[in-house]
Amino acid sequence: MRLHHIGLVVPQMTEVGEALESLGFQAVTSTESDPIQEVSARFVAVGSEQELYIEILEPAQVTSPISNFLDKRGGGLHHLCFQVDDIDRAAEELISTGAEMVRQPVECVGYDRSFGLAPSQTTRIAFFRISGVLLVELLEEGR
Amino acid sequence: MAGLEELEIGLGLPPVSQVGLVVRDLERVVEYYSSALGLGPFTRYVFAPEKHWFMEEPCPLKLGTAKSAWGDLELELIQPLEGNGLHREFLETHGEGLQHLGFHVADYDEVFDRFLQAGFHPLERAETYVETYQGHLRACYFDTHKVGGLVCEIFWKSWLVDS
Repeated sequence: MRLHHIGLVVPQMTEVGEALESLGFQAVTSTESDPIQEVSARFVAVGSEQELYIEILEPAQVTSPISNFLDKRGGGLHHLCFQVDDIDRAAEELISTGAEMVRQPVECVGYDRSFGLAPSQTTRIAFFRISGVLLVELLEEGR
Repeated sequence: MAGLEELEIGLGLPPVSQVGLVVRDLERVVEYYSSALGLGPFTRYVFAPEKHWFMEEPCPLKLGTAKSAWGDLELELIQPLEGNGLHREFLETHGEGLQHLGFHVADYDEVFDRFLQAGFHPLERAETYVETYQGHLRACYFDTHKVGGLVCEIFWKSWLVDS
C-alpha cells in the first residue's frame, strides 16, 4: 500500500489549476470526467522519489459524492488515496480494523483516461472512513 | 507527463513533505492508527512555541502533536489545546479532517518572500526551539485558500538540515 495522491475538492477546476501553477506545481494529466463517480479530475505532481499527486476534483453533477463536502466546506483537502495490488483484499483488511466502507469498489474509467491507460481490466477505487476522521481511497490500477 | 525537475518553478517549492490532520482527541487517533493500521511509531510532543503570531498578532499557543513517517511523507496529527490559531478555527468550522500540506524548505526567508511577492499572506507563524528534536523550527501557514481551500505551510527545521 503506497500513498498515491491527496484529493483536493474545489468549486472551479480552472481557477485552482492556475493558482496551483502559481505555487509551482504542474498538471500532469488533462481534466477527465468520470460518469460513475460524477466528478471531473486532473492530477498535479507533488512527489519526490516516488510519484505523488494532488488530485483536483470538481463535481460533474449536483448528485456527485463530493457536492456535500463542497457545500459544507467550500472545498479543501478531502482524502488520501493509497494504491494497492488487490483492492478486494485490502478492503477486507481495512474493514477488519474497524474502518467504515463508504463506497464499495467500483470502476474508475476517468483515472484510466487521465493517465492514458487502456487496461483490459479497468482501474477500481473504493472509499473508507477511518476512525471517523480520515477519508481514505483505495485504488487498484487497471491492468 | 511533466518531469519532476519541472516542479521547481514558480515559488520554488520542494515536493510535499507533510500532510496535516486536525483531530479532537489525539490519543484516540494515535491508538487507532497504531494498532489497527500499523502506522507509527508516532513521536508525540506538545508544541508551545516561544514566538507565535496568529493573523500577525503575537499570542500564546499550545498544540498536541503526533508525527509519523509515511514513506517520504510525514503524517502530522494536531489537537488544539490552548490559544487561538488555524487548527482551532478549522476544528470549529469544519470539524476533524485533512487541514494542510507542508513543505520543508532549505531557505526559509527566500521562500517566505516569494510567497509574499506572489500575493499570499501569512496567517499563522511560529519560531521556537523544540526540545524533542533538540533543534530550531520556523514555520508559516500562508493564505493560499484561493487554491481550492488548500492551506500551505512552509517550515524549516534545523534537525532536518543538519541530519
